[in-house]
Amino acid sequence: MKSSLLIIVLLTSRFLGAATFEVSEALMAFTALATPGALKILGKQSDPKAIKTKIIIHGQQMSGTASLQLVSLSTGIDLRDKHMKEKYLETDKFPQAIFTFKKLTLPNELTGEKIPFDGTMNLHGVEKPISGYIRLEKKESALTITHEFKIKTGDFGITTPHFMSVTMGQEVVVKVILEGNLKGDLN
Amino acid sequence: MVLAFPEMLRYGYSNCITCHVSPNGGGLVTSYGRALSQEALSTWHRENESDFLWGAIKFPEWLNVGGDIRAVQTHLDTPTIKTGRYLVMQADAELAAIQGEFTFLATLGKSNTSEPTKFIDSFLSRRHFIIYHPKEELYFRAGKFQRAFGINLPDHIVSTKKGLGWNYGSETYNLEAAWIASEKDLFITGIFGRIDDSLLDQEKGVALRGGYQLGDTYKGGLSYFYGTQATSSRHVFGPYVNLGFRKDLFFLGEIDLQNQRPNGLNSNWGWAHYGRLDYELIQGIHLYLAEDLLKTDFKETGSLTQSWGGGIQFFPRPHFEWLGSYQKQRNLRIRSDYNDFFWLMMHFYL
Repeated sequence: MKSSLLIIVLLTSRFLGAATFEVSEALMAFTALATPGALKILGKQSDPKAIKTKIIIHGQQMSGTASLQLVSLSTGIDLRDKHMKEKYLETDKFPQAIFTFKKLTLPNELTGEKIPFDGTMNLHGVEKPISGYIRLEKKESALTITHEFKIKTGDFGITTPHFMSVTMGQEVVVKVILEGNLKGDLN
Repeated sequence: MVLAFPEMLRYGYSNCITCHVSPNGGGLVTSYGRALSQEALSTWHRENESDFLWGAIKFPEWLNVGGDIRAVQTHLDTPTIKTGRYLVMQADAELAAIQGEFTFLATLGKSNTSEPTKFIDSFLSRRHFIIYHPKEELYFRAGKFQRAFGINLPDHIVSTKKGLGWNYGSETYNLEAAWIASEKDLFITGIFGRIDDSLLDQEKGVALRGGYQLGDTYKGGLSYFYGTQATSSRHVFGPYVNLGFRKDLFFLGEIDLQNQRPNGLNSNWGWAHYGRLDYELIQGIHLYLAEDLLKTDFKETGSLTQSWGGGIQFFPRPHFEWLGSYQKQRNLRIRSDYNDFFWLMMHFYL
């Protein structure tokens, strides 16, 4: 019995370490479609420091949060940005979007394969569950996390963006890329 | 506005209909197109400056009114001749009325007929059509307009437009079906020539154009045209690309092969191609390099016309555009060495 326990402990010990992911580069980009003409509205955060993260990898479990200062979002057209922030996201009242990873089970090797995840998003004062895919690619202590998910603006109480003859669709595809280093021991 | 701006793809605008009334772009802009012209095209602007007559007149939502005046000053310098010319190319008013799924559009302006015999001949409607828009992605259009083929370049004197017989003013009566979706579009046009004037032997036939968007700011496509008229028929086909490398750097290119068959004679192959690399120095000020070639018959040396050069395009404020271009150009039918050609285009839109 003792030897069986020892074997189990030895086999699982590499999953018991904990490491903190310290982000050095962060990018958040989004794409939304508008009509007429299938207009692609492309946006990203203009300030690299607008994303703050707290991500911990504990053995094969990952958890944490990522927050974004919404005032840093830009679509490349000033008037559109002004409407997006003042009229729809209401950044004065709701300055941040906060994404929380629920515990996520990682594979043995972090080679960039797609892993489904569940989490929550707090946006415009409304918290909703979201799901999507995440990729983790580890090279020595360097780690790149890429995750992509879809949200619907209506789910967060955001009115359908409309300007002149153009109306934006409700679905927004969000992509986040985090690059940094793992501090601590994963094994 | 008469001009189309396919390079707006670099901002994610992959289809013309977002900003123009016409599904294939060019001509009257929507209220959104007006707003975008000041936000993304002009160097300076104040709020609502791009509105019709700077906002002096407001129209109901179902009515859209615009107008254009374009003039050009040219200068040609050859070893044997130096000549210049000033020409008002266009002075048109344009009106669109929208009622549910239907849009009616018409232009009325000054005709370029040099000595009109009747008063009515002093005027011209370059475009008039009705659009039926039954579904989000589907448009049908009937009337007088330019067929969809290749890139809808504003510079209509290039080889892929004027060189292939599709200069400004060559609009025909057509029936068009357009499917405009995210990342894909398809235009099918039945061309019926100038049914209003049987003396004008304009081509009748069909045109197809399909485009596909790669990534967010790159688009390519293929076009095909078959046309027949009293003395000949022809096939024209080829690819085009619209590459938005960055918001301040883009390339527009088109290559078209032509197989022309004059009645009773052997067919001949030729081609036309055009490319423009453009860098936006600051918003509204563009520097560009362009090349342009037309060879209507590969077997005949003299059928080559060619130019290359550069220019500057300036959108200082909404309603105004200036374009200055310097080109080295040659026409082998006349002489083999290059001439200097300069032109300055001035454009004002209401």
